[in-house]
Amino acid sequence: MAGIKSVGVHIPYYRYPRSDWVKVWGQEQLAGIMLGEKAVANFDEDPVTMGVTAALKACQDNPAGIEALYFASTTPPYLEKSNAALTACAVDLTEDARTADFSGTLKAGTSALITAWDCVRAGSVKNAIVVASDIRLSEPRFYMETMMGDCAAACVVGEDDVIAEIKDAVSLNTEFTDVWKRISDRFLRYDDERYSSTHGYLKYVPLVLKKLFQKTGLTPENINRIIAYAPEGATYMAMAKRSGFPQLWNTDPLLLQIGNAGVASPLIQLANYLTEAKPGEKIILVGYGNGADAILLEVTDRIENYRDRIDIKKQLEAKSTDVTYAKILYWRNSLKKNVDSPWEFQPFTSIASIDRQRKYIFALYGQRCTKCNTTYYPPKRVCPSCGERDSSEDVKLSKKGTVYSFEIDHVFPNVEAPTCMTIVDLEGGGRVLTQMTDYKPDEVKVGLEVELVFRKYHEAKGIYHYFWKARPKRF
Amino acid sequence: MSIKDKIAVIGIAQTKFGENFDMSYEDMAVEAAFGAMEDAGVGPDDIQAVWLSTFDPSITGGMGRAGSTIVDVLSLRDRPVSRVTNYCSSGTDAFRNACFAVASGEYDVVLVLGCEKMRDVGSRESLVKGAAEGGHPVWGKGMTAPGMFAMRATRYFHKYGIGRETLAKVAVKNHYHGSLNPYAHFRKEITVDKVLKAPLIAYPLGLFDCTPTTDGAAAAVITRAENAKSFTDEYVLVKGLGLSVGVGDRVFFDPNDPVLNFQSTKEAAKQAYEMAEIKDPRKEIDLAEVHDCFTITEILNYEDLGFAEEGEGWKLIEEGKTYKDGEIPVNPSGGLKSLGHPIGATGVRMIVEVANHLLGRAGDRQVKDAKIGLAHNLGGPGSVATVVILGQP
Repeated sequence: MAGIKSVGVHIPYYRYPRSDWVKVWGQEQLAGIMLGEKAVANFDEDPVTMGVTAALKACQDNPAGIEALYFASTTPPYLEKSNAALTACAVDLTEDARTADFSGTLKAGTSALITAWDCVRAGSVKNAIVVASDIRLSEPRFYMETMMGDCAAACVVGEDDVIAEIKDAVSLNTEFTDVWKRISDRFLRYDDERYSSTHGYLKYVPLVLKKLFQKTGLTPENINRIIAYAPEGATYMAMAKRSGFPQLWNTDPLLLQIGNAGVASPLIQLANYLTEAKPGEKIILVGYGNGADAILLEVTDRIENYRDRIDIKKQLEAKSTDVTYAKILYWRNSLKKNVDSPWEFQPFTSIASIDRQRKYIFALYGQRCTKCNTTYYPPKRVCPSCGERDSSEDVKLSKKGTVYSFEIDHVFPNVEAPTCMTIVDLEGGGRVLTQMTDYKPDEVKVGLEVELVFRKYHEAKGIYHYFWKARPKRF
Repeated sequence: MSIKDKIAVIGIAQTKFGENFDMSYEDMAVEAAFGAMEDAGVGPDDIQAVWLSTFDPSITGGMGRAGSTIVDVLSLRDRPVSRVTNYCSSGTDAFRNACFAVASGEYDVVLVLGCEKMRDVGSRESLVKGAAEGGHPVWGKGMTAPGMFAMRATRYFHKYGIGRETLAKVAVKNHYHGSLNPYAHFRKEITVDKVLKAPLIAYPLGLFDCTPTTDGAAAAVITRAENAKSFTDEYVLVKGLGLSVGVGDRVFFDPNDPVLNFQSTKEAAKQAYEMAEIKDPRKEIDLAEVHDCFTITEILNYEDLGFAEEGEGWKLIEEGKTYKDGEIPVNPSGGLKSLGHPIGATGVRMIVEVANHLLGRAGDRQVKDAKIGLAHNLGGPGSVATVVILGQP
């Protein structure tokens, strides 16, 4: 019985109210449909960091037995250089795990899931983790800009202990131009939105569902839910209505809380629905983009004991709307800056040095002295406590801790200011000095409980530099 | 074997500290070095070796990168010159090394020069840029000089329950002292209210909690004590020297560090007090020039130098005891806070200032009856500390 064993999601802390976008651009004529908020990745997030956070939730920071990682995104930080391998390193998969990047279309997430399922069924990997994550940018002032939401979802696929069995899957592919981005494009491109909708989404989603029904011999009466990529409200509602079985589309597409979640859209909606799904329910998960994927799932008894581990509702609540439109543009590098802007800096870097330390930087291993038992970070040949040489062994550090001290720096030339630096004492030992993120300055206190999250520190020589930042534990 | 009383400082000089836009590194080095030689009554040919302290040559187009800068700017050719860099403690460490060299008998007359030209570039381009661009690619990224000390202030506030108002009083005192010092970068008195309302730099430190970015140079000429009188009647003796280093860049990762007091200062002070045979520093030291790069640092220095018990340093400033006419005058010069902090020059400037008080040359800021004075220099995140004790012969 192969299927989904666990799920994890990451919804950025910041949510941007669409009503503000209406005001910023004077688009009062759209006020009636510009409802709710969109999730906005912080300045230090990208699809990889969001994916790592979701993946660590899916595997509960224990990647033992996961033999493949498939990373799906239409907006991966690197075009060449594997985002999947980078994610795998931070999630701490072993180096013999299979990794692959899925990209180029919105259905990359569901395609990665089908591939994982195939690999598990074939017996070539025991468990695979699928990560889907996007930060999609539309042209400023174009209405789709504020429809897009940033988030990531992940799931572990395996043979045993599944919460939702994957019973079957079908796919369609088609050459179709509804939304696209060339390698040289900064923003998504659209042409005839109405044609795109009627001859794209509204055509291929019904076709793939029909194909699945034909293949499985099932009818809509046998199905409890359809969970599909949701482009925006009007098209999604039109789809539900035209399908002939609108009652199956009764799942929250999360458009008002997150927005169009790109490749993560089907999986994050599934994760949300699994918090209430009953054993035995049949769900069709639909991915769309240059064709479509349809995956038939059946919820198992295990969901009863699992559902409380899905923290999506808490993440939806733990938010801040204290973000401005100008800031979002700045974070996404959409404002022109001089080459030697005072807020840009060229930090020292060395690919050799980072490569030597990658286990410690990316997977957050520290060391513990076998003589005096001190746990410390970063690694050191000579124990900082007892002075013994080469006495320490690598240990994985906890990502939970408390603030020992902090300061909030207004002169460090970060993309976002100020920069709060914290000394965090980790559960089980080890201390790290790192930046705070997703915080309000007045909530930082000595003793504050924090969790470490994988984030982008800065760019140097065109390389993204990642490390673990602290953020307030909110639930 | 101690070198107590074996070394005499026979010549001292410093330039005006401030944004010396009309002076180059060379101008300042010449003014300080020749000033100290004239004060000692020696000429360039008498100088047998030089110790040069410059912290950051990268902001002056390479000046001070090596000993050869001494030849480039002073034309002191064909003799040994060592350039010393040990964070913000470079100046006193250069002095210390020169003392040992002279005490060994190898040289009779040695020049110590500290010079730092920081304002050929904007202040953002000097230390902040260094912090942002230097160091490990990610570990500790985000720390700046004010941040390092703000981290300790937060912890100190947490542990002892004081707040920004107490730190502000250090700034108010040092600006008052600076107002009396013609060499000072800032010569204006300030109020607690002004300190508290100024922009934050690294919370909990605001603008007036921080040393400015300053140009300046200072120099001293030393010889062995037995030779001093052959040059001048106005000299002071080295009573004690101490240098200690602790964890540097990784200090805030160190699970053993309390992020409060500076162990380096405590150790350096212990060495210097032992050499100088000082048992009760609060009573025996007549004035101290300490490293108040940030207001919190001065309070920690009180404790680490033994002027107050741990956790009680803040009481000294609350009670006004460290004003120049107080029980233990600290930073009568105005300190780094008001006099300024041209990094490589600061340690040598402290020697100059303490000697000025011992020689009764300190003008309006003169500490009365000063017979024993202390200079304390601190570098990095507090990881390098030097203590020098000078006394009247």
